[in-house]
Amino acid sequence: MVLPQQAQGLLRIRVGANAEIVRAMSYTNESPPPSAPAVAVSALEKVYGSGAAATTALDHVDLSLSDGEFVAIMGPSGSGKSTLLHIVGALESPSGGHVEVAGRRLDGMSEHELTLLRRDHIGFVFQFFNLLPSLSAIENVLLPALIARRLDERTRERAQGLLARVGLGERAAHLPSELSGGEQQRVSIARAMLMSPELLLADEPTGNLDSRAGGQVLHLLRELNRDEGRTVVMVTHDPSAAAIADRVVFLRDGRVAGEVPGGDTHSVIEFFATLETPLEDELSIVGGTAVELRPA
Amino acid sequence: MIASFNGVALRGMRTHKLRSVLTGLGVVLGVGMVFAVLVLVGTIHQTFTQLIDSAYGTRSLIVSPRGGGTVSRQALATIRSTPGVKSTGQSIGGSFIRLDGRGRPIHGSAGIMWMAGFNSGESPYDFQMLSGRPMRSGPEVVLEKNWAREHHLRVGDVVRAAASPTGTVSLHVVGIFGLSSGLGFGGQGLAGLPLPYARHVMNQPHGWMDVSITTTSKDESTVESVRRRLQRELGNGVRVQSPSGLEDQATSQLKALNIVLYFFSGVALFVGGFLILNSFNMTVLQRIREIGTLRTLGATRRMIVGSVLLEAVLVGAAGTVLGLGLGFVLAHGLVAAMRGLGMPVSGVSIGASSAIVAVVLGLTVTVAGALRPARRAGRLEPIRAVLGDAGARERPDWRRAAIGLALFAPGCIFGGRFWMGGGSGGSTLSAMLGIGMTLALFAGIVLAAPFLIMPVLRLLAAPLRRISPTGGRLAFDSASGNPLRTAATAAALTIGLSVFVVNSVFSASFLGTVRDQVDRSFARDFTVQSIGGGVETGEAFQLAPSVADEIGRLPGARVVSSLRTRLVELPGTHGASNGLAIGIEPRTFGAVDKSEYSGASARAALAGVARGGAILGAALASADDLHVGSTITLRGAAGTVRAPVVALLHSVTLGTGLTVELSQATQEAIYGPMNDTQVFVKAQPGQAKALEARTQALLERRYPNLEMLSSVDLKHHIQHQMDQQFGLFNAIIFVAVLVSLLGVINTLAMSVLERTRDIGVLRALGSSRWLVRSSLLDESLLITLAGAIVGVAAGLVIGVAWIAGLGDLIPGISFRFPLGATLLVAAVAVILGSLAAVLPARRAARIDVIRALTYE
Repeated sequence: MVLPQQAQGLLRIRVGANAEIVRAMSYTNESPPPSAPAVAVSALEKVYGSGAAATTALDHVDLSLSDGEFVAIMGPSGSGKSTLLHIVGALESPSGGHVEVAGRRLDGMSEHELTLLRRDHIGFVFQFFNLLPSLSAIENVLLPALIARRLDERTRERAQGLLARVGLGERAAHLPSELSGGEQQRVSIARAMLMSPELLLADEPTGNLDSRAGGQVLHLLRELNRDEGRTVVMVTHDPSAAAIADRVVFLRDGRVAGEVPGGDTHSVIEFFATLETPLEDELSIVGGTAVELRPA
Repeated sequence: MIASFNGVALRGMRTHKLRSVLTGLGVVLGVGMVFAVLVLVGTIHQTFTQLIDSAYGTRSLIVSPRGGGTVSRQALATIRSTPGVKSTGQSIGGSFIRLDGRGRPIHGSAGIMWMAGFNSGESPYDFQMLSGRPMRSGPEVVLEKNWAREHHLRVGDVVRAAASPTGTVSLHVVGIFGLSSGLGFGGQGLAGLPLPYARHVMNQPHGWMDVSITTTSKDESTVESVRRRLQRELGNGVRVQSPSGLEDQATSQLKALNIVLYFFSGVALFVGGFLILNSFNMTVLQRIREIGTLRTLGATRRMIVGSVLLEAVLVGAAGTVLGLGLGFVLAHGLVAAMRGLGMPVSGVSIGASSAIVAVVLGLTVTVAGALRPARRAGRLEPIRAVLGDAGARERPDWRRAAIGLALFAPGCIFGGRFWMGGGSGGSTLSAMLGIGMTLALFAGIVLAAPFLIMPVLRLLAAPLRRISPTGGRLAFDSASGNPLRTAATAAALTIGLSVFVVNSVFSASFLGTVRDQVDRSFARDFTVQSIGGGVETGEAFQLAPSVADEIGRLPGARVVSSLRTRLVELPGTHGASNGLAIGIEPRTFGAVDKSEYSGASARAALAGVARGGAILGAALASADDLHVGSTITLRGAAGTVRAPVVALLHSVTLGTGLTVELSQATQEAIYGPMNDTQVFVKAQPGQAKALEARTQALLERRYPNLEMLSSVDLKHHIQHQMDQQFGLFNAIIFVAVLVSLLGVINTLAMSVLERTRDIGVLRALGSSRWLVRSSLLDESLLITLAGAIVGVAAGLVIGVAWIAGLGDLIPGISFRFPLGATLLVAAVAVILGSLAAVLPARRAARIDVIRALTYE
């Protein structure tokens, strides 16, 4: 899908305009001062398939996240946001470009090195929680330590502490099937935090939850980000979820379409709408509000 | 609380008990099958070695005639005067048929008594008197204790028996003896008679059946030097060997049976291994999201492979232990079946080696079966796995079909030849090669299965969809949506059925061929032979010399021609002593037998035999590379004769082709004198019925141990023997088919588990329980029917090819298709296979919709 020239021009203007809006809103963000980037992506490409069947999922994406930053990634379906998250999370390999996570270049790493990177430096939270059904909540939290063969008393205490922190201290012995969706997601967040990863990746963490449970999960992510200084990247469809981030990056057709500072749901909705409405095949109008912004 | 990563796999197994049990079942059945067959082989082997061991005990050497005949008086004198020989024991032997209280013969192995005649104190065997006293003279008999107990005979009783050559005797039981091993004689009677009386009733005025020697020193080198010296001095007519040599000889005779049994256990293991592979494929498929999650969290490929293999080892170990138990039960069943068929078998012998082999094979096959799925699991892209969209819909590619064909073809063309080759004196290597090829052939079927089964499935789906539009449609979509899973489910049944069809094609073709040949070549009206006797038992059951004369004098008799059959070692057969030297009366034989010969007309061939020539069975000719015009050198206890080959016989009516027909005079010159073993009778026109009645009356009056068989009876007799042989194989195959059916249940159940979520969606969308259930039943019907059709077709292809390749090994054999048996077994398999889906279908229909939708 190639964006018509006109639309591209429109977007450039939009980015500028939104930046203005955000400045005007003087959103106070308590993000730490920028240091070495926690994630640096440059000229990232991902192409699925080959020949005539080739589909470009990511098309020269540049993105930099500073340490301790909370970034939300939004975009219409098929915009490449999940692919970006998977590549940053060392779950998929890029077709071109560079990715650096916690100061380590991912390109050139062996499959084994990527696995160890995931294990020791990255935490994952999924839309469908992905807890092991046969393990209790506390065992699910301990899973990364089991995998790393670093299960000791201190880790157990930390796991217990994390469960308490996500409000499930009393339900440690329950199986996933005995927990609600929100509770399961909170277990999976505790699991992601166990090894104190520098980077926490969340793929639609609220996508499968009602608004109250979703709110709790988002609140938790924000807290962990703020209190423990974890860099968080969250892919979401939901502007109000995205707004919790320090920064919202928009993808469209595999490219960065722009970004707005977090904090204000309306500005996110506004920008998102500009991505969605010009294309007739994208029918979802987020939050029920279609915002018409035409250049003068 | 889980303490290590491996604990995760263990917990998974505990949570998914059904999955673990179904996987383990494959191991249990595979190991059980193999263990049972190994135990059976061991038991058969032990029957012979222990018998020989306990019969000869401490004796150092045994002298026996090479290929029938007797050890002469001069030979005995030579043995006794040979330095190093301390003492000898010698006996003559013959078989008697025991009579019941009313003087009627007892049929089957329970009626057969093997009698040894010897002077007490000169027994060649390690008999130990347990009660009573040794026999002294006249009609006195000592009995083996197991047989005596089984037939409630004690010292003081009288045993009535019909002696093969001379008629009915009443024997006084004076003692009970035991063999030093305490073993019986395979359900048959073993008894000792005083030598002079035995010589009289057995009509063996001179010579010995065997001579056992105690040497002055037990030292191995002394014994060996005495053995060499004796062999040199006694010549080639006799065989001088140690008891262990006799065991080796017995063992080599069992080789053919063992090879077939090993072959079937190989098939069983293959089916079991295939089941295991399938189960682990399913397990991995089910665990895909879990594996993805673990990979995402940083579990390495090696850890994933390790955890799947750990599961395999645990399931394998548990399955193996249970499999040993099952095998133990099966082995007892098979041994009982063999006894029931009248084969001599001792008590079940469980060697440590059988257990070790079964355990090692069980674990190896389980781990090997899990290896591929495990490696596949390790190689999964974590994110695809986590999203649950990996590997679910693999399409078979054509390379697979090509490899399948490449594996199938050589086994189909040569496999039968090789492993049948082991049966008629071929080498073990070629038999093993045949087994290897055959297993490759089945592997080929498995690989090609998706390409064979799916088209059949599509054909079958059309009528099914007409009968049951919605359920049938869902069933077909489900079965065709995942061709690899469907093919894997059906392939187990395909293999089981194809083995059955091949076996039945073989037995039907043998039997059909024999019947045809009997119809074509039998010009006799009936045959008289001993109960328990026949062509294939050789000299064991001999007739009184008067039988042929007396029948010949009956009014209405036109031609009486006798046959004297000996089991001998023929040249070119690698020491196998299952060759038959058949002494005929060439002048009359043509009137009772219309066999066609190649290389000469029947008249010329028989004239040649009268002049000292030999007619060779086709298998012997091809084994020793002989043809009409060449000379065959035959060695026996009485002498060596170089006989010109005058014709070849392409028929199995006189044994499986390892035969040489000679005149009775030539036969005697080689192997020594003997009595008739069969008498062929032709009546005058219109007198057949009357002559039969007169003969029957004669036999009842004078020779109760003999029976009269019409051609129809004889065909039944042959059929009975075939049934015995193939019955054992069928019993084993039946277990294999059962294993494959359980495989179908297994994979269906697993496929229901795998599709729990889909079923939840169906139910959520408003499908009734009935629809879910019926679509699963339809699916299993489709899969088992397709599997059965392909199995029968594959079995037919292999059967046709193998029979065609056997032409020169089994003369005149032609292809027959046992339509009835095949349809029956296929129908039973399909019905059982479809019923197999009932449990999984019920389970599927009962699935809680909400749970199913969130099933992991």
